[in-house]
Amino acid sequence: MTAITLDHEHEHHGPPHGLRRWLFSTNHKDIGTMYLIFALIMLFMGGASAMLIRMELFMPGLQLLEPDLYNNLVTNHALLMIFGAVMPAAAGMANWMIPLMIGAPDMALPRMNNLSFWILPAAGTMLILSFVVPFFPGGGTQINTGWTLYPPLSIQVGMSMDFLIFAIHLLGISSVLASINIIVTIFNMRAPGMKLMQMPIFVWTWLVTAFLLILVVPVLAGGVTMLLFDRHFGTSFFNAAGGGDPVLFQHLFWFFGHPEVYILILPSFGILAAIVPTFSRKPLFGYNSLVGGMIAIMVIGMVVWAHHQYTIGMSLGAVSYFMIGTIIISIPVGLMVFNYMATMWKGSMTFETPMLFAVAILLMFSFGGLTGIMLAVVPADMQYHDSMFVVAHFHYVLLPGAVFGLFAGVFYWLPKWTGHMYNERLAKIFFWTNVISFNATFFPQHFIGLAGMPRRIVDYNVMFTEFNVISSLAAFVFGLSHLLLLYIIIDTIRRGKQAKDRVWEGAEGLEWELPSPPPYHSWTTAPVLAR
Amino acid sequence: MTNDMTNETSPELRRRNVRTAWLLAAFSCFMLLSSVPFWKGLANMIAASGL
Repeated sequence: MTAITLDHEHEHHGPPHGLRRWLFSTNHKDIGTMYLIFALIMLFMGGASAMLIRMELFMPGLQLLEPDLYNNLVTNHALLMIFGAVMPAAAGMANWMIPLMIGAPDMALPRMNNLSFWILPAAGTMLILSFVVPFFPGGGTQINTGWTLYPPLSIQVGMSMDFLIFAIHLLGISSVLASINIIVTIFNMRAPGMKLMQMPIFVWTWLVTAFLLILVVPVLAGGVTMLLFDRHFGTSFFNAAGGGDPVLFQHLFWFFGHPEVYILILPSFGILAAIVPTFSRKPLFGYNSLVGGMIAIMVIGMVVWAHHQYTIGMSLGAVSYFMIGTIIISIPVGLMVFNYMATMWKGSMTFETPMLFAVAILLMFSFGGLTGIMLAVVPADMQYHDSMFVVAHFHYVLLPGAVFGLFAGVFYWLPKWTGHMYNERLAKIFFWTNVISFNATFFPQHFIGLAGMPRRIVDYNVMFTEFNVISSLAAFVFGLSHLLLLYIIIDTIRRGKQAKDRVWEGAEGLEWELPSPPPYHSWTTAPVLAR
Repeated sequence: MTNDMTNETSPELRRRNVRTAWLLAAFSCFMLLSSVPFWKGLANMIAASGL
């Protein structure tokens, strides 16, 4: 596509007013906004639990938290961040941007879109209840399993586990419905003439992500349902005493859990595919290989799950297979990183906040990927397993790979969404504070992990104190820096300067042909794409 | 044509969307139910219960 002919026949009657607009909304922009607000709330709740964890680990010995409560916070932090913050934020961006990017008037199934979103607050409430219930008389024990919910411990935990299982069911239903909607939208609602291989990479990443979700989320749902049966209906799927196998749950969990990493990362990589060419003022390098790379990630990512389970005692053949498969997956992931670097090569680069995040992501995610290769090697993993090294590794993968990508997307598209420019100076302060404090939090954890500090343990040996103090202090700065993000967003909406339709000089794509903010009903007449 | 919240789509496109959605939903259910260990465990459970 070299040029675009547009027919601006947008209908300008406004949205309904009051609660009705949000409660019964079937408009992709409104639902996208609700997803993003929900994600932001969950980000702060998950962040608060992280702050408590770091406060406890500030010094050796028990400071504030009982061991079970500490582990409940670890569980809660992971679930809130993964299911509450990152996935809904990515879904919010998909809702906002996919119809705008492909020239569709809305999502294919708008009422189901409403349902997908409104299941989330119910699921979030159940998730929070699972944390709160043990504080009440008769509420049972804390969920001290971590987000992996391994039996037999998860079978023994009190009723809070039931809340958590139902929360996971609801979250799964929401994700699957949203994924179906996204796939149908991409397949059936593209502007006439837009072939699959002409779609923006962000749309491609979401197509792959949505397929991954409908492939793996039902397996997790099956796993936790079996857990529920073992807990209450006398079955022995995972109970060794009844002839069951606890390791079976691990396989089911990680069959979901490993592709989940790509579910979190791919949409952010799609955002980078929009940002890097814009601020490099060059076309994206290697479109076809990027599409091929992400399909390879999807396929290989689904067959390497057991590298999370090297220590369970698999056969030599099995661990060799999972090790080799895991290392192979670094090829398509590396390909995507190199494509973005090649896009920057000899470009007229400028470093607005989205681009700063993009460059930082490529550096820090690559670092997380390298420690991933260390962990993929079976004999080495026997040493690193369940240590703080693993915590450092996956935060280097998921924060830059998923969260920072979403931040980059917020800064890139916020002017389009709101019609107002954000304060670039404040955004850059946020970027530097965020990135520096992130590194100061998690980089030291590699060393204490290698030196033997286990994860998910409330106390630690005094020899790990110094690095933990650094990590905790930086974590407080990191956590508080997100208040600045909140301020920037509110400031942009209330006081930001009027944004241009094509906000960024080098930006290309259908979404930039619309006004900022886009009309409530956009692409009511499909755009005509000129070749 | 639009209502106050949603851009209406043609009946033909709507039917196509719903058909594709059902297909994907069926695929999702297949993933849930075909988790081999689920059936293996269920069979074990039934055998153990003496039914």
